[in-house]
Amino acid sequence: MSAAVNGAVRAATAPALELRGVTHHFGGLRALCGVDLTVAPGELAGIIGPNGAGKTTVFNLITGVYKPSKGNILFNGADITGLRSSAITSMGIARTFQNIRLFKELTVLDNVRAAHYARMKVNPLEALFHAGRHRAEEKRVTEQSRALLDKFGLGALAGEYSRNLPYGLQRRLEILRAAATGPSFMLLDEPAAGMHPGEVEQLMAFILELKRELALTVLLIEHQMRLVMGMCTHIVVLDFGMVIADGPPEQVRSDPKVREAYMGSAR
Amino acid sequence: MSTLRKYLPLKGAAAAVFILALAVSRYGLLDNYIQLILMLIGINLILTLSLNLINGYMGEFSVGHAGFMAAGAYVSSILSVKVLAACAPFWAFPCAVLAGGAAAGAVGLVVAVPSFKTRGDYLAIVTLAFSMIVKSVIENIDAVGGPRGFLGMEKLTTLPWVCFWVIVTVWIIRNFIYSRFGRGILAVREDEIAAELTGVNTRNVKMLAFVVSSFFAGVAGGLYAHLLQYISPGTFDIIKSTEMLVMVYLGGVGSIAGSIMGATAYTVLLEALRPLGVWRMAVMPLLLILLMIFRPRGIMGFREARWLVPGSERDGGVKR
Ligand SMILES: Nc1ncnc2c1ncn2[C@@H]1O[C@H](COP(=O)(O)OP(=O)(O)O)[C@@H](O)[C@H]1O
Ligand SMILES: [Mg+2]
Repeated sequence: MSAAVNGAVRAATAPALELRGVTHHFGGLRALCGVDLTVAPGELAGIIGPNGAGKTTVFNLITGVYKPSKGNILFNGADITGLRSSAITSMGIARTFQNIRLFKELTVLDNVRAAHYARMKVNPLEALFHAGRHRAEEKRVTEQSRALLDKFGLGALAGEYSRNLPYGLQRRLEILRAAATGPSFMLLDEPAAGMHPGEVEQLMAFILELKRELALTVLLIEHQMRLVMGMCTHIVVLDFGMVIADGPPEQVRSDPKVREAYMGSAR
Repeated sequence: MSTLRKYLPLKGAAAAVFILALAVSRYGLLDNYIQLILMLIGINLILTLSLNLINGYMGEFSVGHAGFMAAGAYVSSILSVKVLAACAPFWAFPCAVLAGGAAAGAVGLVVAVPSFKTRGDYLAIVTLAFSMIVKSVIENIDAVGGPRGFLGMEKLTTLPWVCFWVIVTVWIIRNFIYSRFGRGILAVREDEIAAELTGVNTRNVKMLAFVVSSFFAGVAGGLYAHLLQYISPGTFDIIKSTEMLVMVYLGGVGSIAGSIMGATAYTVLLEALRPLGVWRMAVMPLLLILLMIFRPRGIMGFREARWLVPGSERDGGVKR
């Protein structure tokens, strides 16, 4: 009995995400080395670091694209190391990609509807025989998807093939697709990459709005320091696969190791 | 209510076609040759839809669908000759066909397993190897005639039965495509990693696609066997698989309307070219080459005829 209460208390106070001593090798290349990282519930945290530092690899390990060579990954206190990606997604971790990976030949609406997969309950026989439960679920998911698109400014483009959207809107759609999986935690891999400064402002406002609306915890990667400094409350700096700084923006900015790592690429 | 109205025309059309088929076969309204061609079109349509699910909608490349067809043909024939022959009520035949489909579906489940790890060219080779295995297994089972083939089936395949199975196939495949699982296989086609990371269990949807696809290939096999009343391992060789490819890529990948066009055009063309004798078989590969050069996605590639799209899905599901 008290164990259950303890468990509940621990779950409530546990970090949303925790990496413990995560190491990853690609063949002979050591991409990550003993990475410890903690994100508290509700936080907007950032990972920065020069190109090739291992930032995307961190996301790939969290979302089960690869299994870490060593170490553990915990989500809301549960060990998710080595789970199937779709299982991790259905537990509430959603992500976007550094290079946009939309379902290009599907409509905007279908990109979002496809992402409801893990939350839908209908079994294959009900779907194949067009059972009432299937029709009701389809209707509900279609309405929810439209509502999401309407709310975040893509409603008018719902019937368009996603490949036809301009770049900035493709980014936005990819984030909405991730949101449609029903996450509590969102990983954004360089969401501002390739955008004009004006677009970046808009995107950041959009991310903040989404975070608020869906009560998300967010971890985002950015390699331009300037962007994250303004937004994030917690920053982790990676260099050559190792965490070289971890803390609030002011502290990270003044860290000599960070300055050194960013020499040349600092802006 | 409004859904009812949207669905009714298609359901009504299906019922009308079926009743027409009944009448044609009952009163001999068309001569037997025309009826035979119509039945072949129907069987080919089932095969085309079956293959289109994998090659068009899921974006894989199976070249071994004749293997599934063979499984269905042999299982249903054995059932109808050795088990059901004595006391055959009218429902015995659909049961035999259903069993053939189920057997093919089970084989499809096995072939789905390599598809978890293997894609593209490599999976194509796996499916090819699989269909060769099916062929040589049958050749080595003496009880079903080995390489000499198997006969003794009654001619149970009639126009109404073909019509019935075509309607069932179109209906179920359409339901599948416009469901969470269908969007799952489309997502796999577009980007398998992104699909998995947006929560689609890619392993499950692939398995389902292979089972549904091979089930219908098996059904087509059962109908074919009870139409020709003779099957042999040679019936289901690579040529048969290639024919299916031509029909899919002629009509259009990822399209039910395209499958209907492809199966019809190809079957009719092959009949029309009968005077050419053996040369007519050279037409098929030639057609494939021309298609790949001039219209690689087929007539309807990735487009659907409006009347085949469920009302709630028209205009990309955006109708308000
Ligand atoms: N799939 C892979 N195979 C081999 N090496 C990889 C793979 N993915 C990333 N790497 C290597 O791991 C290192 C870290 O890459 P990555 O995490 O993408 O860096 P970042 O996102 O910080 O720019 C790089 O040296 C990269 O070349
Ligand atoms: Mg990266």
